[in-house]
Amino acid sequence: MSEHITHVAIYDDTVRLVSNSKEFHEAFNTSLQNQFDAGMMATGARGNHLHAIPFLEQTRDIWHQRKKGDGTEEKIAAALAWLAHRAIDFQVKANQLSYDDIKDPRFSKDEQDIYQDVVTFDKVYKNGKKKPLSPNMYISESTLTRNMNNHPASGLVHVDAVESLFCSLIQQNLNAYHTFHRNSDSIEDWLEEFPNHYQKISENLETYIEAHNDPDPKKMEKYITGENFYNEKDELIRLVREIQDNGKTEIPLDDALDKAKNQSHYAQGLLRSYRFLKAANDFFTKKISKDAVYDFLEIFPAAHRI
Amino acid sequence: MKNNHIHISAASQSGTGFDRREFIKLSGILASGLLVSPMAFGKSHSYTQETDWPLASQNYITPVFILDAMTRLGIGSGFIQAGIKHCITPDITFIVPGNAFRLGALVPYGKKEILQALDKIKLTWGTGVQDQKTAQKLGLLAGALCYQSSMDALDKANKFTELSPSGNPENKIYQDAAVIRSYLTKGKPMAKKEQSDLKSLFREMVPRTFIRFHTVMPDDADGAGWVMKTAHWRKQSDLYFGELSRAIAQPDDAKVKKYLMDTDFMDGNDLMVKKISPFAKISDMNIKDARSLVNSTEEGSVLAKALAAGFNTLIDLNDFMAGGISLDKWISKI
Repeated sequence: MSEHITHVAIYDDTVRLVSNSKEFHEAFNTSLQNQFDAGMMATGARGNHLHAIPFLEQTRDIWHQRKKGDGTEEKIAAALAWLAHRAIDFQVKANQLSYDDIKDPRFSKDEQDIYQDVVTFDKVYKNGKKKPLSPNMYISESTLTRNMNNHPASGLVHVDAVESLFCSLIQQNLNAYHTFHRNSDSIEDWLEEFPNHYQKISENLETYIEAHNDPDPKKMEKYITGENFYNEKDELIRLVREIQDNGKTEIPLDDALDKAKNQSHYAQGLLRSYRFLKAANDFFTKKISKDAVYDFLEIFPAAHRI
Repeated sequence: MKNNHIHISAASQSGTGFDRREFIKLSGILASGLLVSPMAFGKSHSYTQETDWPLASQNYITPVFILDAMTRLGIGSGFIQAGIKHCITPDITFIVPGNAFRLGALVPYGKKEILQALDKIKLTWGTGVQDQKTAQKLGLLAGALCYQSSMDALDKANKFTELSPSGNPENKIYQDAAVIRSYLTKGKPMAKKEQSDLKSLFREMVPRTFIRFHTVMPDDADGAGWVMKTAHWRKQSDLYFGELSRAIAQPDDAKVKKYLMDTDFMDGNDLMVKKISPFAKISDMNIKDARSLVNSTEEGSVLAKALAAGFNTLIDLNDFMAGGISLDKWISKI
């Protein structure tokens, strides 16, 4: 599956496509513009299969009656971000290396995820020089360096020690909002439930830093180039990069979407994200049924078709 | 909704002196910052303000620093069991049970319930059931006990009601700044530029942390409430990093006096405060020296007492798991 930087990038690029298209209900653009960060959290989170469609169903009839801060725009932004996340996950997961593909222990499918994220950081964010759309997400050329050692403040504090504390605090802060804390009947129940809510630290940032600063050329070939993970010549990718750089593009969207079918995985993931949002739009405007949108999004288990 | 009160009961049950009214006030201000009716969000309609913005959602690094010190004191104590050391040792590069230790603030139960839960773990732990799940539970409960004990002491310096624009208590931001400035800065002069640089550095730690998470765990029981609260958390944290940077680089003298000096928050002469420097070696400490270290803080600063309370709890936990103290006797001590 894809990882955090790619999830943020696909959300940013999907928002660029929506903003450049007339095919979506005004609710989509307005919500993404006004409540971008609600989507920012969702695109980096699990749960797309559970929340996206119910959120759209809850908001489609009250869109014109919404009031600022009543959650309508936040829900729509989050739903769309979750669908973008789902789209790139589908694309990447279906095409990542399997153990059967690997004949040399130099390679690892988990490391492939990280290399892909690092390439996204390079291509979409120019190694941190380009900022994400969220005004509250701070990246720079220090993001993927050891102890942020090229950051102007890295000489002021012991970054490794401070960051370790912040990492735990962020885990704590985010978990604090889960409702099971007050819904457990006993400490035994709470302890049993905790693992279902536990925010694990599962990725080794050092692997990112190594891949970013000193990539193994054999791994770049196996994980990225050979897989055609990202190709900046793809029309759809050029289109979103032009919007990113200049705020506009002359590349025809329909043509770029059509060509993306046979292009890099990132372009295909972005195409799938666009299609998922189109299906969401058709559901939001009641052109298709709930079953139809769930089918289109490939959300099949009955328990997830809420 | 069951146990509506339960989240904040941890502090009140533990006798921390935690000021419930202060928390409710904080909760109200944070919630009002959203300009939102709790009725607006799916299951959120059942929320009360106090449970919307639990204490553990505050940006307060000092208790995490104390738990980190507990890890170093625990590892450095020859008499602490290896199994317990494993459960209290975090590693932010990997999935280990010890990463739960620093999340002790989340446990929404008081010491008595925690001790009873530990008693159940002890039954199987002693027979060799020390799997990942059990170790993680032990890490959480150990973290909760150390957190609650140290908060009992820290709250002696937490009698203030002033809130910063981020919604966090201002005095706690000054405590965080004092801890970072004393232990983790590199001795360089700091003015306006450095303040700005620090803020940037702290903010950039958030996406690095999210990368380590791979994906964030939402609250599937209330997805809509989770989206709102975490989007707000981003803004709250953003402000906090600025407030913390200012308190580190260019602190207000009057606030330093009020929040740190007048409360006797921290004293570099305290043996305990010196002992837990991240750069100090703690190795093979025996129980006598450990007790002596704890007792050295009787006349010490608030931070020294908070560290001692946490370490004393860890010593008791070790004793309990080894059969040296009964459940009833331990409960009677708390």
